[in-house]
Amino acid sequence: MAAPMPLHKFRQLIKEHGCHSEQKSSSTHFYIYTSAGKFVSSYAVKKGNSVLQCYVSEFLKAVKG
Amino acid sequence: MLTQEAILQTATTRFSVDDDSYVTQSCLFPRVLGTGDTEAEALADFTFVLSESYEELVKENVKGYNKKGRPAKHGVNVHMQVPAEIKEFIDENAARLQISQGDFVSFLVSNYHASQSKKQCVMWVDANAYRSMISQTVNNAIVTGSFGKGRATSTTAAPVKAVATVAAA
Repeated sequence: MAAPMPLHKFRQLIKEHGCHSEQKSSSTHFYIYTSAGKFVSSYAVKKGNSVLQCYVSEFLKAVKG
Repeated sequence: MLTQEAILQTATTRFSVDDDSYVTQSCLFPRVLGTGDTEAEALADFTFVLSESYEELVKENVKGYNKKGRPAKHGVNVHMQVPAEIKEFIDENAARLQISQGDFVSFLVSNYHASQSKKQCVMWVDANAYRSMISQTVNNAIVTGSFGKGRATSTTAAPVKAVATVAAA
């Protein structure tokens, strides 16, 4: 089992790719957008303050096109 | 245009050993994932996140999803011969879900991967149960003082036999 990525590291990764994340009110999920406002992918913070690897890999796939 | 219903109908749930979690995803809109400790939890999570993010699909800024037909996926063409009933099955279900034949084949492949991952999950759980059983047996053997005497560490019955031996001595 791979260790989940700490939230601060994932947010840093999002920044490095020129994106930002937003949380809708009353939602447990975050939505990632490019600086131009295009939707990239979503993620959830569930286990402690970390993000599951499946969200990380889907973000990287989506951002790389 | 891709409907929310079609995305839900093509969602598959796999077990991710990496995450020790169930993951629900649709090949039609792979950008959103649902996760959970059970298949039902992952599907409920996916349904929720899809309902929130579906509007992103129909916004102008997600190229292709707001037009008729499927978005460009930069896929490859496949030419192959299959039995007529297989072709009929693909045609009927693609039409029912209002998706392309290629999307339906992608869904079938996702389903295959999902079922394989669940088999892996069962094996993974069994391996953990086995490790736990061995560990328990060794602990019992240590507590009863039979560790390393004869075959006491190999079965749960052995420590009882070892205790009996000590008592007789």
